[in-house]
Amino acid sequence: MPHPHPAAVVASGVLFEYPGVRALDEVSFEVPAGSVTALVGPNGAGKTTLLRCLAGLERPMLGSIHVAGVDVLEEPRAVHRRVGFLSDFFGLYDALSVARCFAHAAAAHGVADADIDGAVQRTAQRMGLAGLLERRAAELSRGQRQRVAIGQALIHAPQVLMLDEPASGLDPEARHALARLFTQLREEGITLIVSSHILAELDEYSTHMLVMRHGRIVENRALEGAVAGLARVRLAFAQAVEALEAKLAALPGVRVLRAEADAAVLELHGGAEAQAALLRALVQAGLPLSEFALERENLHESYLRTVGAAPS
Amino acid sequence: MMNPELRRNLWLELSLHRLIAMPGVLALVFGLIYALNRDAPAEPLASASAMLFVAICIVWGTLHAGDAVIAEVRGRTWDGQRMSAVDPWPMTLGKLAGATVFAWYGGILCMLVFLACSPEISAPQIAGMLVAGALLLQALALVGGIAAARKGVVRSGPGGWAVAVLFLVGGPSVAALSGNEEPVLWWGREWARADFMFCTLAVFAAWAVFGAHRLMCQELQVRTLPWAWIAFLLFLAGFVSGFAIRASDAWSQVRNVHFAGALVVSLAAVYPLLLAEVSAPMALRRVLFRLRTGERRRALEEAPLWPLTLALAALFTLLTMLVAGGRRAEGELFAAVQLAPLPLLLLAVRDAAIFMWFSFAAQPRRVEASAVLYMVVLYGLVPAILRAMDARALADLVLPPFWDRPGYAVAVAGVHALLAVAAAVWRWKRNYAIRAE
Repeated sequence: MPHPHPAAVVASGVLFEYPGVRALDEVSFEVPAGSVTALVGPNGAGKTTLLRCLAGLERPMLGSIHVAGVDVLEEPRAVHRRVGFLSDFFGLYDALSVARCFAHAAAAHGVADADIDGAVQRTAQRMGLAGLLERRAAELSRGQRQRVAIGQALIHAPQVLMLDEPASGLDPEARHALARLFTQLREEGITLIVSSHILAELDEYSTHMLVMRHGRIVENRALEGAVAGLARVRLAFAQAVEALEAKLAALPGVRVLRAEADAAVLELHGGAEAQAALLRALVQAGLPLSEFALERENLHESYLRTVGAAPS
Repeated sequence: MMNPELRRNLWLELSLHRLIAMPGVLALVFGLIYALNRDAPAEPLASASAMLFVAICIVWGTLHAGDAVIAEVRGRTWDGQRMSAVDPWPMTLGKLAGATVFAWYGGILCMLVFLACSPEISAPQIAGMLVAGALLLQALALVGGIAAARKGVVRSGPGGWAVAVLFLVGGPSVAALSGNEEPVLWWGREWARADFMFCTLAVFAAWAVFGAHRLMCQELQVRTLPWAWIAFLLFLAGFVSGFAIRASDAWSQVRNVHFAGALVVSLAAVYPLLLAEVSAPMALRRVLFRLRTGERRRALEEAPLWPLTLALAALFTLLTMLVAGGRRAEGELFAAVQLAPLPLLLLAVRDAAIFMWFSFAAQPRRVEASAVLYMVVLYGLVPAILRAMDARALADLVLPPFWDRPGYAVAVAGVHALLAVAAAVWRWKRNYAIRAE
């Protein structure tokens, strides 16, 4: 099935080495525009190196990378105008106020002088920092500093935003706020690539999963539920139903993933209307339905399944 | 639109308090000197203002320039700068002017006092030299800072090195200037010493700023070919050769001296490059990958400069030997080089191979320090000990006698180079060779 969106990132045969270590081993993948891709993998898998290559901060030894339609190796400066990047170990200009941190980031990313004040105010609002604009960066809490750093990466309205471990060190409330922000950014059409160890947090907003191991891409796929019109439905029945799998398979637009005597998991094409139609059909068929629930695969489970299946 | 990097530095460096404090403190210092020398205050004030300029603008400003990039690496803000849309020239000039702006603020105030009080007729020339010298050292410190950051160094230091260079090299030159009114003979012409010094400092300052820009290009991932480095080496060769050229020299002699100057300069340049560049082994693997995929231009863009400089030295060795043709030249520089260009080149090859030997370790550590230690042993300690023990033949095997027995020196240096290159190649093949997979 052709993908509904063009790719925001296309990497092909990317190879990068450190002394004695091949950090990226001819990595190839695509990231669809408008998606939120969870970049996951164990420590040392090559996630940070990959993000730095995508952002044009490191030059791979072989391969090609296109971000937002621009060749990163040929025109890294052009890519920098279209991309926002937050390193896992970021720093701020501690002696500057939040407003000046934002104003510098905007000017440095080519925002016109006349637009800088507006960009600063918008970013401060979006990041929940409007009341802290005159505060020096050194005086901020860890969560506030994180928000300033993300705001700096966002202030020039990038097409692609890459974040390396953005939630590390944040409290649960700040993490939740971050998840809300990423969902909002995705709705605005920004493509996000987020590397994190905290899979539960990624689960809240990710649409795709890119799994790395030993410098290679183990899996790159849309998470179930992220593909438009595809849903997984879990059914439970009050009592065992004879030939349940056959009866369910006969329903239109349904694929049976798993069936037992009194329970089943289906894959359903179509949106809410298809779900309503399925529910109606089940009741009309006289099946003793006791539970009808949409099921989304947990990113953690999905990751473990992928890693478990991958050769070590 | 104002340079964003300069504006950021202005925000950081020029607070209202600092803007008031600097002239306030200087006024107190000059007031004290005036009070102590009421009868004839002009000369003490001029001396004090010159010394304060050196302290504030040259020493302090240079330290700040050297730390401009390293402080960002240390503060983890440099990635953000590299990701910005600021081009290399605004970034270089913004860093150079921005990091030193407060030092210049104080320095200019001192310079105004110097010009107002100095009884010397040559005060404007001295002021010009001090300003050009400050700019040169600050730009050199920025070059050192960027080079250090590219090697992953995060501690301060390059600025301090530049200041050390000031005192070791610049100090005697300035002292010679003040105590010597004789003109400088350069390229067969006599030049007023003060004018020559000022022009030299200004031109080298311009080269240093340009060098900082070229390094910044690399740091900001802007593709560059190494023509600027070759141009600088040729300029430097011309500058050095100029001191050995007399007005009466024939064209062929001028050419020969220039070849010899280029040889000396390119050989000498190999060593700081080996120390300063991110050279091995991954950079070399990267170049080999490029060559394998037919990306020759990119290979040249990404190649370290030391092999290119060594190749340039080989070219000028060949040219020097060809044009020398067995004749003894009149110029001292040329005469010395004529005797021994080939062993000098071979020893440079050996030394580069020693650097590479340490670089090509599976987990390279303290490469520069180890290689420098070996240089000290090979050029200094062992020959000195053997000569002290009257074992001259053995000493000549360690440090070939360039001047006395050039043929023998070529053979010995050739064996040195061969062994060192073989060892480096062996280690490369063991740890880093690109294998078909």
